[in-house]
Amino acid sequence: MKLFIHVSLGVILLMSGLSCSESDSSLRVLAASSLTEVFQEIASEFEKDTGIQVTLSFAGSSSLAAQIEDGAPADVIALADEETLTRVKQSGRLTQQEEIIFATNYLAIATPIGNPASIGNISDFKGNITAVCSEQVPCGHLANELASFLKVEMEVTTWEPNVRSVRTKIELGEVDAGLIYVTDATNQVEIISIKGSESVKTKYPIAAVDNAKPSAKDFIDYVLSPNGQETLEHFRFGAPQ
Amino acid sequence: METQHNSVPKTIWAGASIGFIFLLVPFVGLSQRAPWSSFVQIVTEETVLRSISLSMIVATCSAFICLILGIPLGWILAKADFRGLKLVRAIVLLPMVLPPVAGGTALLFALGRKGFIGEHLDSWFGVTLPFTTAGAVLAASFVSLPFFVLSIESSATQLDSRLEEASLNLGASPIRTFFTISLPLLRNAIMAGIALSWARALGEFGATITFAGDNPDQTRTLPLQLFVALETNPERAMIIGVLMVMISLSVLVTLRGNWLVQK
Repeated sequence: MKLFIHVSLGVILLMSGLSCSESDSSLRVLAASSLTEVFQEIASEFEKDTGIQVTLSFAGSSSLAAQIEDGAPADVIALADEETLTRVKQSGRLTQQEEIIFATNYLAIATPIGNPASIGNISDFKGNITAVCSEQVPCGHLANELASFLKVEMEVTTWEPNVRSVRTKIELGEVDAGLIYVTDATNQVEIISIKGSESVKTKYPIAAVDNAKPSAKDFIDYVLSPNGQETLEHFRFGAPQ
Repeated sequence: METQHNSVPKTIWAGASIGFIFLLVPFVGLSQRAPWSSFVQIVTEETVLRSISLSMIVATCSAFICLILGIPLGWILAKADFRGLKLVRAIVLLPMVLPPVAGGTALLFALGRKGFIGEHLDSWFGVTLPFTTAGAVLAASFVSLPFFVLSIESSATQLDSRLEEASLNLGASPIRTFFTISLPLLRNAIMAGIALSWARALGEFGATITFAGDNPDQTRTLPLQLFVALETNPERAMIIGVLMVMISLSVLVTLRGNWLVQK
C-alpha cells in the first residue's frame, strides 16, 4: 500500500512537471471573446505549420487588459478595439512595437429564433428585455457609438460582461433582443442587420507583450498572412484597412 | 485562559498561525494598496450609494428567505430519519460547492423566462424573474441558504431533547413544542445563520450576474459594481472591496462572534 502511494505520488509529480514544462514552451495568446472560434482555427493551423503549441485564453477585452496590467503571463494579445489596447500600453507592458490591425467587425441585432418581440431596429428595444455588452468592453462601447450615430435612444435591461454572454441570453430566449457582432451570428439566433451599422466599425489590434517568446512574432505574422486572413474572412470578419 | 493555552501543542499553534496569516494577507494587501484619501468621495458617489442600498436590500431579503426556509430544512436534516436523507443533505449543500455561475445558469433553466417553471410564471402571472431585483434576491438566496441550514442542523443535533419530551408529556402539541421549546433553544444558531447567510448574500456575484444580469438600477449590487470597476478604474474597485470587507467584518464580528461560539 505504502509503495503504491509512493509510486502514484511520483507519477503525479512527474506528470505535473511535464505539463508545466509543456505550457512553458507553448505560446500564450490572450484573445477577445468574439475571436473564440476563429482563433481556435488559426491556432490549430499555426500549430500544424510550425509545430509551436499555442495556449489560448478568451475573455472580454477589458478583462484581458486588466489581466495584462496585473502581470498575467502572456505573449500575444488580440483585442476587439484600439481604446482597450491603448489602456494596456499605459501599463507599460507593450513597449516593444506598434500594434497592427488585423480585422474589423460591426454590430447587428440578434433575437431568439422567430423574433417573438418583433424587433426591427434599436428603437424597438424600448419596453422589451434587451441585452448589450457592458460599457467597458469594446462591444458595449461600439453599441453606444452606434446608438449615437443612428441618433436613437437604446433601452438596455442588462449590461453583460462580454458579447458571448449577450448571445447566450438571446439563445436561451431570456432576452427579446441584443446587439452582437455580425461574426457572432449562429443558427441559434436570428440576425437583423441595422442600416448604416457597417460604417460604425471596431478595429481589432494584435500585439506582442514585452519579453514575449520569439514565436509571438511568427503567430502575429501568421494572423496577417493570406492564410490567416482567409480564415478570418471565412468567419465573416472584415479585412483591415 | 492560561491552562487552555498550555494544553494546545506548539505545532498546532504554528499550523493555526500559518492558516490565519494565509487568510489575513490578502486583506492587508488590499488595504495597503487602497487609495484611502478618496474613500469618502468614491463611497458617496451616486452609483456606489445605489449599489450599497441594492446590496442591503438583496442581502436582507435573502437572509429573510433563508430564515423562513432554512429553519424547517435544518430541523428535518437534524431530526428526521428517512430513506434518501443523505442525498437530500448533499443536494441542500450543493450550492456551497458549486461554482455560483453554474448555479445561476441552473436557475435560468428553471426560473428563467424559458425555464420549465419560469415559462409558466411568465405566461400565467406575467412574472419575469431574470434581470430584476427579485431575481437577484433569488440568486443570493440560492447560494446562501446552505449556510443557514448548516447552522441550524448542527445546533439542532446537539439540542437536549429532555425539555421537548417534557413538553410533549405535559400534553403540548408537537407544533406548540417546536415553537415554544425548540425554537427558543435554537436562538443562537438562528442568529449565526442569519449573519452567515446575510454576509454570503452580500458577496454574491456569479449567480447574480448570470441569472439577474447587470442592470444599474435593479441588480448592480456591490460585487457587480466592483467587477465593472476592476476593468475600468482599479482604484474604485479597491475602495469598493475595502467597503465590502468592512461591512462583512462588522456583521460577522457582532452577530456571529456573539452567537455561534458559545463559551
